[in-house]
Amino acid sequence: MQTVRQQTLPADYAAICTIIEGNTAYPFPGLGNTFPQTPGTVPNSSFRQIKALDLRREIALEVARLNHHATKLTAALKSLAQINEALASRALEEAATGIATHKQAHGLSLVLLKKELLLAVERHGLAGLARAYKRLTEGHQDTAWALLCHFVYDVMDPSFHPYVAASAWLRVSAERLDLSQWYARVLEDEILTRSETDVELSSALLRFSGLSLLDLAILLWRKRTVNPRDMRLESGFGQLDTLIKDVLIEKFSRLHVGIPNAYKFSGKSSPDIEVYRTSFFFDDIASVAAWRCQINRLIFPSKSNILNLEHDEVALRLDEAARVIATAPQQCQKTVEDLRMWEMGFLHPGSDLSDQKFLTAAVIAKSLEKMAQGAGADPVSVAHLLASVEDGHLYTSMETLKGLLNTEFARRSSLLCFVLLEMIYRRARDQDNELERRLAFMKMFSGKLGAKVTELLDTIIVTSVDTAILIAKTCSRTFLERLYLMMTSVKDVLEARLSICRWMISHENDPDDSLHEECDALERELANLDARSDLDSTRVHVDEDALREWFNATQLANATRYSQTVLAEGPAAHFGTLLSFYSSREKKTDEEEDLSADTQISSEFLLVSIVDATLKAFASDRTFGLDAYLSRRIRHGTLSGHVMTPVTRVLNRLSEVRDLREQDREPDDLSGINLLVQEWRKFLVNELDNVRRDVIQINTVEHPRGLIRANWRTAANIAHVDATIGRVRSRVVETGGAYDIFPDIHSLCWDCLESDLAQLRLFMVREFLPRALQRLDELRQKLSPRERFLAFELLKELHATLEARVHEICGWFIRPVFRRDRYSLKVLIMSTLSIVRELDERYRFTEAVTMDDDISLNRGSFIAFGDALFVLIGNAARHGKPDGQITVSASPVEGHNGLVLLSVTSEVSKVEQHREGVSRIQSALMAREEQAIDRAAVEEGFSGLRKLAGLVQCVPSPDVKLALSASEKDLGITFWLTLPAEMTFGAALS
Amino acid sequence: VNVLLVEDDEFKAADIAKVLSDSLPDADVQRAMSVTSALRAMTNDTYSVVILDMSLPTFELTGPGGGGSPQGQGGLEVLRLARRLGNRSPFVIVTQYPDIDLDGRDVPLLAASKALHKFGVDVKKCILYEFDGDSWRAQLRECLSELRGIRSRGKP
Repeated sequence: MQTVRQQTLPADYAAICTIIEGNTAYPFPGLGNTFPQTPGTVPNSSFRQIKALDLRREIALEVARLNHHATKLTAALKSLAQINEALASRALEEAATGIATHKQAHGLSLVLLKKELLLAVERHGLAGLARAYKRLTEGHQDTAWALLCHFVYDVMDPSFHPYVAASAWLRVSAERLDLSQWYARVLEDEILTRSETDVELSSALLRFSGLSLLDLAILLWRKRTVNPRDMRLESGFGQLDTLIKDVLIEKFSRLHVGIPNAYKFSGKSSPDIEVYRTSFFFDDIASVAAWRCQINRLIFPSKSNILNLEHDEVALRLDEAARVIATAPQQCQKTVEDLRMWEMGFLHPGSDLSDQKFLTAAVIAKSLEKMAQGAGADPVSVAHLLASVEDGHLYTSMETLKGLLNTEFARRSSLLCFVLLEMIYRRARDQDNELERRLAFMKMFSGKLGAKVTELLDTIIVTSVDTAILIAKTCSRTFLERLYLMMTSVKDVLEARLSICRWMISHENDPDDSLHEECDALERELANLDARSDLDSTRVHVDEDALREWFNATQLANATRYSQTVLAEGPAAHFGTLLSFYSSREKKTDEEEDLSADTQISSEFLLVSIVDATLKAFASDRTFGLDAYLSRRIRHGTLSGHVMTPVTRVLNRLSEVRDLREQDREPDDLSGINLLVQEWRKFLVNELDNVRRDVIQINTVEHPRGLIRANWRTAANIAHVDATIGRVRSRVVETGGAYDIFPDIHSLCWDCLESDLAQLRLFMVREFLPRALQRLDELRQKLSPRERFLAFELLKELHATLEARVHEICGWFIRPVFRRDRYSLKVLIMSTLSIVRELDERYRFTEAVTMDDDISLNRGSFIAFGDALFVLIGNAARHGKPDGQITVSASPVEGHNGLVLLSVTSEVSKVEQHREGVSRIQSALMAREEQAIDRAAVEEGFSGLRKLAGLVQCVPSPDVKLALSASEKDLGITFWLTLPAEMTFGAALS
Repeated sequence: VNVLLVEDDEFKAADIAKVLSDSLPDADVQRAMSVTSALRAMTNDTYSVVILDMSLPTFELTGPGGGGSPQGQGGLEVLRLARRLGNRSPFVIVTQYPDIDLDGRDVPLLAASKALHKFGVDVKKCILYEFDGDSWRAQLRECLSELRGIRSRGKP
């Protein structure tokens, strides 16, 4: 085929068509696709390796093909025109009949696909669109046809911003143009309308010819429209068969259409972004294609080369509007209003728009280019203008924003610099951009200590409400905490955030309910500042607020779309499990490109893509993600310090044994002890370094031994995802779409991390600890009998110290479900049971937990309950029946507000064990002297009963009770512990 | 000679202070124990040298509410902001770990000085601190004597 295309002379194109086109002897329908009947052949993969000719020859060849099929093609075009007219006049039944008849007579095409999906969304909204998608792709799910359907579906989805959808698909296209041009070029051209180079144009002709003759004819028509001075296109069009030319000119030059009802508020008006969306459905009409090309020049500036605007009246007008706004921002509204007639040019007369936000943002984007070239007037007015536009950052290129930022004009206003840097950060949320916007923010206050953000807000709101709200919304807690030059303590941050929340509540038209909740939480935190411990430093942690902020900025639109899709699908929609989907995907052996993930549209896959993105941020975000936390809090400091400090203390005492003996008159040779101390210490330091460097890491190419995979695509985690899909779906349905999905996604991230954390705990207990103790034993074996005797007690202590520290480190790798100052008791109990079970392979106990899900604790209470549970469950496991049951229950104490009664019951095997256990417990709990408790805390580690006794004494509440009940008859032992759910204590406990 | 010692660990700070008093007996040594206090000091003064730890809290741990939420490496924040604050002080990094996490990659200390130039700051050396070793002391002394040499040559 490639040879025929290259070798045939243009004069022979018509002749070659008579041989090849529609010849059933060939395995392809012609030199391109003709009137395909099978969905999987649009585009036809047989042509995917074909390369485009130079533009003149490609045009000539494709025109010859069109002419060869002129009669049938003309009929197809006429049929398409009738469908357009029916859709434009909302004669939906007629359109449906027309589409069915067209498909039968003229086959499938991309242009018809758009009409069919438009009809579906017009008749039955998003639900109809989803059903139509499924029907159209059935049996062809993983093909380029399904991918094109998905693309059209995304742009049409009423709950999805059409520009965001188009941009996302443009990125897909850009990534795949090299290897998969056969469909990627189609995507690109459908979005951009115009080809910037001859190569692109020639390639577009070839690829549309791989779709269908109807698509090819429409493409040629569209290209001629948007490139009116390209004589090659004009000449090609002129050589078309008169039948084709006439129908195109007559039926596809101009058509007034309405914005489909699916995109209107209450069936009346719609925002002007819907004009842009509507243009996509009807870009086979020349006037619509021309409009789309003009608007694309504004909203895809990086895809539009500098054009000669001399003869382009609309382009000149838009350019002038941008210039006016650049020099007089206050005239923005009027200037955009003046463009209303043009904006609504292809709509039915009498159509109504509820706003012009889209065009405003698009023209402002253009005017920023002019300002960057020196056309700006008043920088503060520009700042206010930009703050008033929600999506300005979407349509402005990074080069323009950075260029403007570097101008003298922008430097004159710290406010404008901040707003520009905020836009830059919204486009690319990286650390450098985050730092720059923070610096700009501090500059607005000249970095003054104690500067009040709300004072600035009160000043700015006089001139611009939008700017004040933008600044207030930027000031999240995470952001404030890093204003190093303005904040001096956590207290400053909390107070500033509280005042900003209150300010937003009183100034926003419809303040979010979560602001009230946040105020309450901040007030509680401020009241308990003294009780804040450095708990975060020793327990894996991801800042939920920062993750929520990231989620709101990057995933909220997807979450809204997800909810709307769920509602459209309805409660009866059945999905099954992702496991079957992913397992069948992995089994695929086809050498062709795997498009299965690109061709899924149901709500489950929308949720999965949100989960995927959130889990990545949760694990790896450089600012708030788990890896950043591990890096700073565990890998760089705490891990080594926590183990080596107490171990070194014991080792020093061991060295002292040797030193003391060396002062004897007849000193023993105790050099072996010295060697043991040095060797083992070196060994342990090295092992810890390996753990830190290789094991407590996110698993990547750089860290192949990293135990944190943070991957939802494992069989166990897919079960979690399935469960979340089911739960969230039903809640979204129950609440009519108002359900906030973030808490579920956040919780799922921890679910997906559970097995990784378990691996870390197991590694520490079953690999690191045995290796370290084995090495210690090897070195002990080398000691002389005398040295062994002298070192016996300290070696035992060394053993116990290391074991206790490793167990405590395991306690770091527990899921910390809490929100700032609220912790879930149930999760704490479940985690403790889980970690205790992992401590010894012999523990095979079963567990039963009975309690309310909603008992939550504050930080102080969490520490107390955490320690108590480790002691009680640890003892139950150690001394109880190995395969017995441990029952934990918790409930609020009636009549005592805020008190929680916890009980832990275990069983032993024999009466003798029962008696011995009760006696041991009673003796341990008798400890009253402070020194004995302190000693116990060190000697017993975290599972000592005396430590529990001491803890109960330290809790500053008269209601605290610890009681024991033992039944010899059923060999059970139960501890009853009453503690407040809210408590504050100082240094005594720690 | 004025020196800013940015270190939150008392033991390590005392160890470094000993080397400073030996090498630069007349130096005016200021101490900062958090990112915030380090940056505040650097906003006001340029130092002959800033000795910087990598692992730092946001705020002073003793302040109301503690050291703040976990963040990326505090020392890197100081370096990132130093140039932006117009501070031209040279830095010597003294850390307990043999590598620095830079843009998700562990950069060995030997290569870190060069890599840290991306922040537009003059990092003279990155030294591995070992509380039971001596080689870091020698390296720090060498660094300080070079700085002293530069300063004395620069005097009229």
